[in-house]
Amino acid sequence: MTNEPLLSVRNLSLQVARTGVEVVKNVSFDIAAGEIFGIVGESGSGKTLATRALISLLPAPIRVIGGSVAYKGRDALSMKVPQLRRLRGGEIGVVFQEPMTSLNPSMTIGRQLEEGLQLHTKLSQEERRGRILAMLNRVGIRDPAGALTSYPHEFSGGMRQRIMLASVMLLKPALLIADEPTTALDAVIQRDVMELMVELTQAEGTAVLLISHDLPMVARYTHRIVVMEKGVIVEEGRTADLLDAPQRAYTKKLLSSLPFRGPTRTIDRTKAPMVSARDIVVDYGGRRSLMKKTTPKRALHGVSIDIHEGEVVALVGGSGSGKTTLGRTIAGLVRESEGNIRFGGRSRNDDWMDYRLNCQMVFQDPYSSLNPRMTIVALVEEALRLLPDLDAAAKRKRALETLEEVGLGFDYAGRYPHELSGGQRQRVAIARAIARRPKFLIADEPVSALDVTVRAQVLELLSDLQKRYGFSCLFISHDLGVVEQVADRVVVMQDGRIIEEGDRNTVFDSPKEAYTQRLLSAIPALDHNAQGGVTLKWRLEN
Amino acid sequence: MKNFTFNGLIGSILIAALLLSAALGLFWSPYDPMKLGFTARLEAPSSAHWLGTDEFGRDVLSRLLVGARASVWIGTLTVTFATVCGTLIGLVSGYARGWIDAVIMAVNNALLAFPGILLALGLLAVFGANQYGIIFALGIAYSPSMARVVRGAVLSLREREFIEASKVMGNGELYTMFRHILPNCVAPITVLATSMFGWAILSESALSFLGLGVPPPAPTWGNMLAAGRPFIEQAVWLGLFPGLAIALTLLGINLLGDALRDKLDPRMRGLK
Amino acid sequence: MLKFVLNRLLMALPTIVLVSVTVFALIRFIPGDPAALMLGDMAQPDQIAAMHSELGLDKSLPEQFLIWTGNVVQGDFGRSIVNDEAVLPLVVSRFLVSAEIVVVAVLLASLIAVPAGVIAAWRQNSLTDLALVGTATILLSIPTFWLGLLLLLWFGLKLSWLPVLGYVSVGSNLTGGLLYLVLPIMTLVIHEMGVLIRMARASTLEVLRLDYITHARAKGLSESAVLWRHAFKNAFGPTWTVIGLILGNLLGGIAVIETVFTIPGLGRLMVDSIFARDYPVIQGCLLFVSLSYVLVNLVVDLLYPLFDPRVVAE
Repeated sequence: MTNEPLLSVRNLSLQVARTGVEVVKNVSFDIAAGEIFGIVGESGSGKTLATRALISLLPAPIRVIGGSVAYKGRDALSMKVPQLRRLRGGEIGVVFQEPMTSLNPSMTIGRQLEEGLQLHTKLSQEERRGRILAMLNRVGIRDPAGALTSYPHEFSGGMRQRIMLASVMLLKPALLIADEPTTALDAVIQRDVMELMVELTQAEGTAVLLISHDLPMVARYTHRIVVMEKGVIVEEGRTADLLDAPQRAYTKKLLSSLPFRGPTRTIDRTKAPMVSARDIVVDYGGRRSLMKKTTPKRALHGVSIDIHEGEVVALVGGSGSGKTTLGRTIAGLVRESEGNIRFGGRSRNDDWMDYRLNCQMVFQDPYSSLNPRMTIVALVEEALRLLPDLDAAAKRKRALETLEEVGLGFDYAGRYPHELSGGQRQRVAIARAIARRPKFLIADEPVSALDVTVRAQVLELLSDLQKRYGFSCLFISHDLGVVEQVADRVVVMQDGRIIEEGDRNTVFDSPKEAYTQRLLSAIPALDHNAQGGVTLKWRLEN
Repeated sequence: MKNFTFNGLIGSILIAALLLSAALGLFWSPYDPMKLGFTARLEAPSSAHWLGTDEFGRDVLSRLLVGARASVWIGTLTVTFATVCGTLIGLVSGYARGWIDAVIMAVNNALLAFPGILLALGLLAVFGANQYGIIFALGIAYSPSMARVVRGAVLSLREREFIEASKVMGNGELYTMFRHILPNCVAPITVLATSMFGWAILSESALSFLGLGVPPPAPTWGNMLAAGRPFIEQAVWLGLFPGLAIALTLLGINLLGDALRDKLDPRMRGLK
Repeated sequence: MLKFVLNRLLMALPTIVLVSVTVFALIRFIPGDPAALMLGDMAQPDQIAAMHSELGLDKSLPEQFLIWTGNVVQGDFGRSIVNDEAVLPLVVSRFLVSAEIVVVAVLLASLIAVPAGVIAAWRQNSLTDLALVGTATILLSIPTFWLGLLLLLWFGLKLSWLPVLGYVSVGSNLTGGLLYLVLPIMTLVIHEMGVLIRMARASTLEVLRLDYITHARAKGLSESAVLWRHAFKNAFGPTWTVIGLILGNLLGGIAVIETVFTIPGLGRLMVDSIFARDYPVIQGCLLFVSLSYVLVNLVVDLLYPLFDPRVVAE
């Protein structure tokens, strides 16, 4: 055996054909057989395009303008179509981010899995069937024989990603390209799928090229890592070294943007809570239409929660846990079927206007939460519309001041949302929410659509504002890392019920429930060191 | 970013030509379009009559110009009628939801269950075959499509977070509807209204061709084609020019509609 | 699956009822005594009185509607004012003439246009694509009655290849009948190709940018396997719906083509009846065509799961 790498990329450069913008510049890296190799970068770093180029699957406007890709010593960029097709699937397999759209919705699972085997092997039909069943079994599909004749929509996201993995690993490729393979999945499922992927590839001796924005996750599974920013590799090295002693400013910035445990604050909980929700039950879809009666689905089973003055309460749980429904019920966007909500000691039904004026919300998706046809300043000003004691000039002044406060200067005022980046839009949404000086803010996944470095800035902004104005906050998130940074108290939900709650330190350091433990095992505890590096410690691991 | 495409340019030129002809036809035409000229019947195109004369010796170009006016007028009124009715119905239906929505949409779907021009034919039987009968009939026939599109837009907008944000701010339903929902429906309404203008002109000429539209001697492109049909072998121009006018108008509208859709449809915008 | 079918059938019911109400109401909106309208100008007073009791005009509107529906269900669509023919057999015989033209035209247009649209999408922005879309847009913009006239002029009058006017039923004289159908079908095919090429292209484009297409390529599949096995089936759904709509719309709008080619079809019957104020026939045509339109769309809906199994689950 020589030391020739499995895949060798040299000075790869990509360009958008029409505009001439270089989206990937001089990227070089090697992957050895059987190795797990990571590429980390934020959106726009070119990491996905760079890997698509390896098997000539670039989207139409992008083209290769320089460099080489050698797979087992063969030039992969100039390969003829038949050779290239043997390479794709047979030698190099790909798993994409979106399990919901990566499987053909109108073709049975069995047919889709068989396709690759038919193309790349000479197995008989029975042999193919046997292999598929064995593989489905191995990736944890409960009824493999039944799955063969099922369609993708009959499976959950996590199951579909397992099927994707099965479809790729069936062909025993030498290299697996996994592009954000678990980003669309719930934290708990994320971990299971990653472990499965590592186990399968190690067993077959398959090398993995793992691409993600999630540095801790990549660090956990890889031997070596490269960090990309704006189409360029800024740093590369052994994973442990890179984390411990980062050399480049961008890497340090990435590491320092990782969430860490915020200071422990003392909250006065002797007074009556600011917001108090009691025995909230929410049923969905129990409508009787002309045609049929649909049985209601219970989203919340009698949930109670208190939020005190100046307190940040985090609501955590996976998708379907009911955390968003609870937040929206408290915001008054979902009508509770049973239970009551009190604000400032009074039932909120007594004075809805008072509640509306004092309770504001920041939404998850900054692309959807701002009316695209209004200017930035008009968006913030609208929040002041119903304030009785401000005239038009004062409202404009307040809006501009608030924008300034969230870091958007005067020249942003006249722009429209589509002219702003995601982080800037979320700042506008925050400005809109706090312009009225509310006593209570609901933040529903406010940073989960943002890149790592932007996320850190927005979190910092939120906690600065919270300190300055002292509003209470219900912070809803699936990301426990973020929660550890901002929350005073943590409430864990599962299947429409609260299963655990307590002070942040208590819940994070000694979780009682198995579900909480599983959630926590998906995120690392960080120790920052003097060189700007970090040590990742995975919780609850032996 | 390409703001305006080649398609949009050609479309705009064709539509501008249509509007100019219609405006011109309002004030001036080479000859009196109604004046009979028994000495100059079925004359081929010449320097005196650029597009020839018809079986009564009337100047074809003059009649086409006046016909353009009729097409634009009927198209505009029909689209206005359908847009106003359809938008109101769609807004109310999408915003009210519940049983109001169910009832409105049931009626709407029933009207949509009449294929295209058939409902217009039925309504013409009621209103009588004349210019305003056509406008009413087509307006009623097209309103349900507009209502469905607006309702769809309203329903999908309602799911957007900025509508919820407006609710959380304490804004009333009417305010939210006119400040946040309606302005964001403008794009689909514009796209559909553009196509409707084309449908209206096509349907008007088809109905006039059938003899159910604007009655002769007032010229429209459709009834000119119908009148020219028996003479088509001797006088090809009678069958050629009115049809060409309709086809170029429709081509202009289709191209402009495509350009508008590419520009206004947010799904397409995201792709660039 | 059974639930899906039942659900779709149930959903069609209110539409059918409301369509019937609309057709019923339309005629009642015409000023004047419905009984007199139904009998025409030559009616005798005793005939009108008999019609009064037959239509139940002394009863309430809902009751009148029920009487009318009852008659319709039994196949009694009334009698023509003009020649006292029973309406239903008349409508059905004319419908068959129109349907053979429309069905053949839509079938041919789909067979040509759908593959063309898929290929245009696959070669997006290439010369092939531009040529196909450009042609489609032009075809779409040519009104059928004008196109029909031009074809008639060229193939019928100038070249004398095909008969110009008239109609012979295919049943009585196969080759002769077919010759009369060539031009009308050709006209419709050319026009509808424009619509379908664009539709097939647009829905294929939607599908081609999805992840599973890239994934199919990443598996090593050939371009033709990606296009026809993976993209086509998923892209065909929306086009399939449009084919249904076109079929129905043509049945409603065939009058112009029948006028150009002097074919005694349903559209011509309807227009002639409007001229003659033959209200029972107008009503019969309206009801028959709109109900067949509902039926066509229902069938289209029921077959949709063949292209997209997800709709059954909803």
